Amino acid sequence: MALYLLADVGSTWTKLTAVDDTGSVVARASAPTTVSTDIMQGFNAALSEVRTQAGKKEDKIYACSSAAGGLAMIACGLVPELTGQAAKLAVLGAGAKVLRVYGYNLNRDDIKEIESLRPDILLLAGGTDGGNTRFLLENAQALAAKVKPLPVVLAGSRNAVHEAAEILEAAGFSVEITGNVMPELNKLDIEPARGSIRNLFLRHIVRAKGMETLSRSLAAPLIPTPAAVLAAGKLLAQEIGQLLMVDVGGATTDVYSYGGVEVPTGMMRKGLEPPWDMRTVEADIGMRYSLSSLVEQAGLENILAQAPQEEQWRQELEKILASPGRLVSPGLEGLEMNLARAAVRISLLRHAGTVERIYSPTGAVDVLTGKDLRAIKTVIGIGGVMVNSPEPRGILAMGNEGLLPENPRLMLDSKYIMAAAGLLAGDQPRLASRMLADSLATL
Amino acid sequence: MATIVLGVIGSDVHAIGNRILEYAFTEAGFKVINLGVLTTQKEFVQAAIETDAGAILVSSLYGHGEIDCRGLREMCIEAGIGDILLYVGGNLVVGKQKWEPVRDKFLAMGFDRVFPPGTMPDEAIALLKQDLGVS
Repeated sequence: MALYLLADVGSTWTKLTAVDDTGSVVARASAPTTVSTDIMQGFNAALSEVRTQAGKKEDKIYACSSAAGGLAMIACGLVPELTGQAAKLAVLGAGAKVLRVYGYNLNRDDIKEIESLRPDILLLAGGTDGGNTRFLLENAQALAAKVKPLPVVLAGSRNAVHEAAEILEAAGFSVEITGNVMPELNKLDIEPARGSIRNLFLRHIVRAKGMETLSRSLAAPLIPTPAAVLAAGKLLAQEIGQLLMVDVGGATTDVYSYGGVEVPTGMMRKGLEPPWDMRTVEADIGMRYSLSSLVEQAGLENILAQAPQEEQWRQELEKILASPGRLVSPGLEGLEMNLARAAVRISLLRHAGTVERIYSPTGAVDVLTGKDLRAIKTVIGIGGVMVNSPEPRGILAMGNEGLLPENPRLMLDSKYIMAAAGLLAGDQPRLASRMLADSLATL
Repeated sequence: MATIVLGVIGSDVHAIGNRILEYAFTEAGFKVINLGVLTTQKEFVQAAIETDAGAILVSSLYGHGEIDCRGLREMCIEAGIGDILLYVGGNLVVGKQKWEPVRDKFLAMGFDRVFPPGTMPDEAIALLKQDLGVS
């Protein structure tokens, strides 16, 4: 019987899951990620434990990583609401972290900032096919002249990408030319750019020592962890229909949606057509490192609203803000739950689109921007905050607000299976589905 | 062939003439970026930048054209496309007003060509080709 080993090399923990060829999880182990020495130390520690549990050696290894900050990228477009947004969605859809998004010409401050941020990859877009070429070429020149070489994915106007590539390559940059993220105005095509980002990730992202050794032992390319989660959700959505997933973390809240792209009868769409599978990341919404901005967004009075003793919650909140590593004190889980509920609500509302009623002389028109998530029937919670909560339902349940799902079924990734299942989604979709079906708990 | 941005400005939902114009200009060989109805000034300008359009063609059929169109040339200048051709046509003002003052008002706003109600697409196409220096 074949044994598949699925590894998630996280920023703090390296988590290994072994499944047999029926899709049953037969062993799990984790060890602290040893990013400061060699990630193989932590990996091998977890590996020997998994092998002991499983009673045999694995046949194939698949892995994803978010160690050493994950895949950090910068996106450049032309008009911020058009190719700027398209470039950002492509970067997020590839599982990367967006450090910055720039529009129009890169000025000297931007160039300095790019040089100091040192992204793993830069996505350079701008102009529709047959459209503007000037900004793409000028930005390529600015980068070539002032920035130390870095990997670049060129996803701008097809009439300028080759010339831009020559400019960058002459300065020592490694460049991959791919399809335009917005070939026609308001039409997204981010799949080619995602593929190119994955290719460059493979070739260039070896910042953590040992990552290359790990890569050589894998049956499929190493991918960023969010890309694995995105793949798991996609597989699930193909089986059960439109889906929404939310992952509340310490620093960010990630939202993944599959569907919600149809324009309801009687409405008209304005702006970019959103991708069917869309990932957004709220960098200012998180339970610890981004707690102060979460509280600011949610409003302190709302967070403290249901407190049995308001002063007690207020003091606890101050303690957590002062030391983000802190766990919430026993008896005050309600505070943690309120914070998580606010994180979910804010992140989902930002992910979802909006409807604006415009009154014209001939009557009212409803104009839709972005995704209409109301018809989505399933919402899945991911992450320790919800898994460890006594009442995950209370965190995920949403009022019928805006374009959020109306009375969806709520589920929980209670066994942290998403990334592992996503690793198998490409090669062994049947096993991956089985893993998901076994692990997701309906709330 | 030249790219043009087409749309109906403001809270105007008149879609039929917009479709006819899209068809006629496409047939005439232009690459038409049609933003449809309910288009804001900002959307016109952004689309023109991203697609490197040679002209913006604004329609207004509901009588509020004067308010909706005011400042479009200035916005183009601010956005770095101050030289772009701006055309406007339709029922630009409320009621039956004399054409010349209406035309002059829109020319003063910075439009290069102003078309009265009932203009046939061919007329605008011929002028656009002339203004863009294409045949």
